[in-house]
Amino acid sequence: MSDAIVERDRALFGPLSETGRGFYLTVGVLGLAILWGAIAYAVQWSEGLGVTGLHQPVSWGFYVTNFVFFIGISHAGTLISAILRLSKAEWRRPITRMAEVITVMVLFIGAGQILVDLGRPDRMMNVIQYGRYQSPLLWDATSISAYLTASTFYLYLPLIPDIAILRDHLGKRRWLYAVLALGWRGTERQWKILNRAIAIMAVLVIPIAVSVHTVVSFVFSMTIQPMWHSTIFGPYFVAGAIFSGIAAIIVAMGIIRRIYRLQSYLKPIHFRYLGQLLLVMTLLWFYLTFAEYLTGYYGNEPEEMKVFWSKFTGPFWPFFWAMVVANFVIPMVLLVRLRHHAVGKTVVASAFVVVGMWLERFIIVVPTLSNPRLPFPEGQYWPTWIEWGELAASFGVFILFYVLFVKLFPIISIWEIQEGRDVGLKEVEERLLTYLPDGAADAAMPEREKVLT
Amino acid sequence: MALWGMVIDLDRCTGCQACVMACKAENNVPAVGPKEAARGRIISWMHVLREESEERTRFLPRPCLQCDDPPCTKVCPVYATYRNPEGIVAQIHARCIGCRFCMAACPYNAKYFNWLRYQKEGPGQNPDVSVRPKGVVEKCTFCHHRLQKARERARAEGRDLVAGDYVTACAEACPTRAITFGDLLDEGSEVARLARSPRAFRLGEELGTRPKVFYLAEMEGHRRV
Amino acid sequence: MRVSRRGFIGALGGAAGAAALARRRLATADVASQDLERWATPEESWVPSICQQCPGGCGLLVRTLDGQVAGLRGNPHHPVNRGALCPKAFGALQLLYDAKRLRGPLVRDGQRGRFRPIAWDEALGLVTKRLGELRAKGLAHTVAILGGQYRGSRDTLFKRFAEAYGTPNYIRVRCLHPEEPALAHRLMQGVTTPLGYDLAGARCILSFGVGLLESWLGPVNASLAFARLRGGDGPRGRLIHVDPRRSQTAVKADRWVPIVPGTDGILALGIANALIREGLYDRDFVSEHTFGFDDWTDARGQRHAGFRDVVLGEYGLLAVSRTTGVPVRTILEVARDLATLRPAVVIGERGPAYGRDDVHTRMAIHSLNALLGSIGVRGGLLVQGELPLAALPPAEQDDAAKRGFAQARIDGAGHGRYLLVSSAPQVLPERISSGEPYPVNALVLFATNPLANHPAKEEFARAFERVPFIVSFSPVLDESAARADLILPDSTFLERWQDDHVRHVAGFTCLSLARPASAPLHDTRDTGDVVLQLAKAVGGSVARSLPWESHEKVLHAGVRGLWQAGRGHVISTPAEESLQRVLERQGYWAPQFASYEKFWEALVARGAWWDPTELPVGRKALLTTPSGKFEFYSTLLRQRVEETLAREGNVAPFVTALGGRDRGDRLYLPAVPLREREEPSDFPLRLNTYRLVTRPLGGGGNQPWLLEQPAVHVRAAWERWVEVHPETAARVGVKDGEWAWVESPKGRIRLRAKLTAGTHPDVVNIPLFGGEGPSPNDLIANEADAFRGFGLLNTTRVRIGKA
Ligand SMILES: Nc1nc2c(c(=O)[nH]1)N[C@H]1C(S)=C(S)[C@@H](COP(=O)(O)OP(=O)(O)OC[C@H]3O[C@@H](n4cnc5c(=O)[nH]c(N)nc54)[C@H](O)[C@@H]3O)O[C@H]1N2
Ligand SMILES: Nc1nc2c(c(=O)[nH]1)N[C@H]1C(S)=C(S)[C@@H](COP(=O)(O)OP(=O)(O)OC[C@H]3O[C@@H](n4cnc5c(=O)[nH]c(N)nc54)[C@H](O)[C@@H]3O)O[C@H]1N2
Ligand code: SF4
Ligand code: SF4
Ligand code: SF4
Ligand code: SF4
Ligand code: SF4
Ligand SMILES: [Mo]
Repeated sequence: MSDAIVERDRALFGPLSETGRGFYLTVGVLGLAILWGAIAYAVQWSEGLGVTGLHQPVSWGFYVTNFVFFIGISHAGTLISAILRLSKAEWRRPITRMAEVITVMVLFIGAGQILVDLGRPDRMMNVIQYGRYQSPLLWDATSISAYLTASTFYLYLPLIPDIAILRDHLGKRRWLYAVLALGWRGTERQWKILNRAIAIMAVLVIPIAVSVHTVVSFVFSMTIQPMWHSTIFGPYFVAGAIFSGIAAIIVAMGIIRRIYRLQSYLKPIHFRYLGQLLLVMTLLWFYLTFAEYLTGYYGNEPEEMKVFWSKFTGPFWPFFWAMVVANFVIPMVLLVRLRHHAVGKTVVASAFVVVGMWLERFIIVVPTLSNPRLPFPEGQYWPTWIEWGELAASFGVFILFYVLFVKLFPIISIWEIQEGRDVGLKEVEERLLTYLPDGAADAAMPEREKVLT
Repeated sequence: MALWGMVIDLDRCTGCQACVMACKAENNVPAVGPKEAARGRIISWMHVLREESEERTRFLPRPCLQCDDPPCTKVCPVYATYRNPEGIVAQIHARCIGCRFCMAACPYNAKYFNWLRYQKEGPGQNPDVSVRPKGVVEKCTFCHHRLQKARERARAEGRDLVAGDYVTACAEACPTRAITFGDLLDEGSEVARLARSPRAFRLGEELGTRPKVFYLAEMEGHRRV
Repeated sequence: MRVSRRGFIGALGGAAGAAALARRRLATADVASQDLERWATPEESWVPSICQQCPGGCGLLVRTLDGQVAGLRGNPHHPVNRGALCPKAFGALQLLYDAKRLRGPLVRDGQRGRFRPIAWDEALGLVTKRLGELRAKGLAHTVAILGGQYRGSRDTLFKRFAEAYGTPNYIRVRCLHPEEPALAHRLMQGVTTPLGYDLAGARCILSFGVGLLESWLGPVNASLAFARLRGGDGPRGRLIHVDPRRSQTAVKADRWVPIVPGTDGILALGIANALIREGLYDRDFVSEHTFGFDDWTDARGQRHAGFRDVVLGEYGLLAVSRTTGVPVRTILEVARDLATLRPAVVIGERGPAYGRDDVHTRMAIHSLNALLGSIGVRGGLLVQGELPLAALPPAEQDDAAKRGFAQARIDGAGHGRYLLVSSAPQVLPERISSGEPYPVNALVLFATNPLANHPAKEEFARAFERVPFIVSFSPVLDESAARADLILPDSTFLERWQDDHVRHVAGFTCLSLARPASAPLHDTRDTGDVVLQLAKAVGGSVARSLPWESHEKVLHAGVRGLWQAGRGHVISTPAEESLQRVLERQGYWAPQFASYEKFWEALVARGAWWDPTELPVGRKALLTTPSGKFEFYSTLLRQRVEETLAREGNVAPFVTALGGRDRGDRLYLPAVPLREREEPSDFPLRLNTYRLVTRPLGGGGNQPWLLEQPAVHVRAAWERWVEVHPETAARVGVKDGEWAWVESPKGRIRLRAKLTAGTHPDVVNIPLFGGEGPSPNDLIANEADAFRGFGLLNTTRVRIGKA
């Protein structure tokens, strides 16, 4: 690789080499949010969960909502990038890394929510010592750790050539990159192994990702509680996860593009494509939501209806209808026509979807618990500063990690962009030819495939 | 092997809460205080609910129903709640990680969480029941410790456990004798006889949890005038 | 009864990995099962005791571990409760271990309200000195003793002390006297001992506002009877409850009859009307055993209207329905239920007065028992046998005592307006304040808290200022004790010798006896002992009248009579008891014990003596009026008035209280005037106060379990509330759970509003709470009831508003 090549993607090195006021300001603000969360957690650790707004019967609240939400967001990355990679979508090149990073960061935070939610975090190891596989929580633990491992590999593997580039060209932090590059020299053999590994991971990660959100949904649907005990919950949660994941990527893309002036890499076309995907997911989400609520309503089972009405007209109506607006109405309005202002529209729609999906998780967790079957006093749950603090800190940690990642590693895969230029163009052309009825490129294909999948 | 069960006659229950207080005294269940109570954190292993409808009001005492197919135990990730061989659904407070999954899963809201450290040191407590630190779930145990003591006593006296040796604190106190406790497998026992009564029903029968607490429906409607 | 705990701990340790308590101390951290072994095995024993949280007197078994109380349950062999308990019983544990209990005697330190600790000897010295001085000055009668809710030897001791010391002013704050016959029973049947309601035997119970399942004379015993009514073996009986409020008793009743407060007498007469008109009454009983049913002519040839004519003429169902708010159909149905479900019993012996027409209301209600022939029959009203306690030697009165004792009572009980009452505590503060007929120089408070519990609390507070020396025996610093000069804290009932005579449960006589379950936790003394110590210190005839060393010895002396009685037995297992009963029925009675000491030991070990066999008693014993019959027309009441007129020359205040001369014969008949509906005023709502089943005597401010879950009919914890009808609430814009002002001409209090449809829209209900905080007594005007000497608690008008 020559310096000229580096020179060509100069913009991608920007965040790594220069550190402006904005960076410190951001880190400072995030640090405060994290500090808030840390203090909150210290208080919770010493006093007990009593410092939250949880009570009888609403024994799960913000933390569990956040857990489901963050795990959902985590589907952004690995799953989407894997699908795009496998489907050889060339426009994926600048986005995959961004997406994969989200997955890894957010998975940590999602899993962390469960720890924060435990009444006895000091006894966490009991899960290993006395683990009981009948409990969906253990399915979650297994599935999430598998996903976390796979995603980390999946993030790391395509990062290796870039780290090597940084080792060779950046000048800073050489020791770090030297270690992480694992002696990458870009030999034929190394490329062969790398491409093979990425391909395997891409295939592997998809079922794991699907399983993750399926079992997260099982935490609810395996109980016999009204509006939880639903067979649709697995696909519903997976779809919701992908939905929120795509939205999260779009938002991240929007922000990064703006801050690091990467307009020439992240083009409106990327937003348009992802926007269209988001629109599809909006419709899918609406379809599943509709199916879920309609069956409940039609069945008119009294216990279900109590929860149903508490969402539609009862104490939870603001959350429920805000969710419908954020997840359906606004995306529909903004995303149907993306000819103009694609970037702005998709980012705004995505921001709403992120909020809307958080509300969706909340509206799944809390109303069911708030409407016990027996005539107990229904609880009105409202979080305390502790839970707000944990929420703020969760976002804080997520964004901080992201910012630090961007500081240390190229957020757009340099080698993949270059590869796109070098071989992608030609390859697409050839592939296109294979689609065509005259079979012009038939002869050229086999060898190419080995390199490019 | 016995299968311990309870029958509560709603025709008799006056909602006096003697069972509630008896349970608290027997099992060292503390009052949580005005602030915590206002936040909905009262712990009441036995809870007397009021069911109000157009025609009548009835009082419904709800201990843990000791489901024979308990939805709460399955979900516990650490085996801190389980159904023991005699059908009593137990809690291991020293193992519970406080995830509250069992609370979310119990359709009868019979489980209670120690949001803070409610139990305080102090005299007058029953040393036979286990301590609940903050952060763990607790609930009605069918006064399981009484069974162990009764067994001990029977063994010391060189005899088998007989009906009446083991009675729960709530059943013992109830002034209308609305609560009957005993071995459901002992065909001749009062509890088994009442559980077969045409008035007998179980809460959430359709849920398939098979509670071992049965209720007897009221005989005549309490007419409002 | 000793049980080893060692094996049990092994079992527990093996079973659940449980953590536990170290010798009643909670381990701070979680403790693993193996740690259990380091705890020693405390010695367990079960001590019989008697619950004193209400007048029920249920038998307890108190669990002690190495002598420390660690739980309780009902005494399964006790005839009152048969092992059952009500929620209040468990509050006793928290009462005992209340951290705010007084640790020892306190003496006023400068101003009233400030205290410093004092040693017992010194404290007793102060009292003795004061009592001695007053007696020496011929002012023994200016010592007043105000006593609250207790029965048995503690009453005996105070009564005797007052008598020997020389004061007539032993005043009891009570509106139900389980050891006296109810007023209507006394006036209409002439009985001098209490009658028992055979609730357990009845098939139909009609209650006029009696808190059977919540308060009254013990909800446990009544609940056991209720359970029998609810079947099992016999056919299902019926409970009918008349109450303006949809109480728990009302909810459980087969029929709830909401009523305009204070109009119960009229309803009873309406029911009587229906019974007579439809010929449903017991003709045989009425013709053979009653007097005044038909018109009659007296010795002077004067004609008097009979009960029948009065009822038929004046209490037509429409008029009754209009006044009481009870539909005509309901009145008829209740009458038919009573007539068809026999035996039926009617109870109108509420604690608080029904209102200004209290005597006549109670007589009207009781007349239904006569119409139903439910007197002297199982399932009706039965006589309670006297306890054969050994008579104590008569108290000795020296001249000072005689002089003092002969003075008029300061509360005027037994005279004038208060002719029929034995105590008129309500009048006390105004008499103290005015210094008429004489000033009070010392006031003794025992188990009563007038500064919180009386509608006259403000007057009491003022009166307290006029009393130079106030001694309280309260174990806690309640409102009244806080204004005392000296507090000599009593031990609580689990720490002292205790007896109880339950006199309202039909079918048997019973004495409960308990030794201290625990040594006093603090430097407190059984007031029984303290009274004896004071008597000894005062010396002379006072000391000679109270010669016993201790309260225990007093009990020991009295109980000897039971052993000698030649009947009854110390409670024991059901098998043993039934054998005994069979023998007794056949006329055999063998003493259970060879010596009195053995008897006493057994009594202390088991908790009660009873005699289940003496009933039923013939009707004759229950009808001891001048006519030997049940008197619809109370010649006793008339005699009383005439005697007093002859003796005192003036009965106007009393007759005015009864309704005035112009009512003629109606004064002695159960005739309650049909009042016009009151004009609407600024205070349109009626205030009703009642007792929760979780409210113990004294209020239970120190019993967190009870305060945290006070009721199931409203959602409340720790807070005080007012129950408002939703319509009324809507009118003033108050929502459920919001703060509301309740205001009367006397004052206003802020409470949480609880909307309950279970009440007349123009009645608001406030449960009686104890201790600090807003109380209905802040609203109730001090209006004394001439027939109970207590405040009228039910006549206050209020309004509510958003706070
Ligand atoms: N739990 C408990 N039990 C107690 C006590 C206690 O403090 N707590 N105190 C003891 C004492 S001192 C007493 S005097 C007794 C009193 O015992 P009760 O005589 O039973 O008195 P309450 O419970 O005050 O009232 C009983 C019912 O009368 C209703 N009531 C009010 N006004 C009227 C009316 O005008 N007509 C009719 N028909 N009903 C009316 C009330 O709504 C209430 O439901 O209780 C004793 N037992
Ligand atoms: N508004 C309204 N007010 C009422 C009533 C009502 O219905 N409505 N009811 C009235 C009636 S019926 C009554 S009887 C009165 C009762 O009123 P009180 O006679 O004042 O009786 P208690 O409430 O039992 O208070 C007993 C006091 O004795 C003290 N005490 C408790 N235990 C012991 C002990 O073991 N030894 C001693 N020495 N003292 C002890 C406590 O400090 C407590 O404050 O209230 C009356 N007040
Ligand atoms: S003790 Fe008996 S009557 Fe009272 S609430 Fe409990 S079950 Fe009902
Ligand atoms: S009632 Fe609830 S806690 Fe009890 S066994 Fe059933 S599911 Fe479990
Ligand atoms: S809260 Fe405790 S008992 Fe309940 S499921 Fe979690 S670990 Fe098990
Ligand atoms: S069985 Fe025991 S633990 Fe369960 S409610 Fe009754 S008293 Fe409480
Ligand atoms: S009825 Fe009265 S005496 Fe009996 S247990 Fe209840 S409070 Fe105690
Ligand atoms: Mo009273």
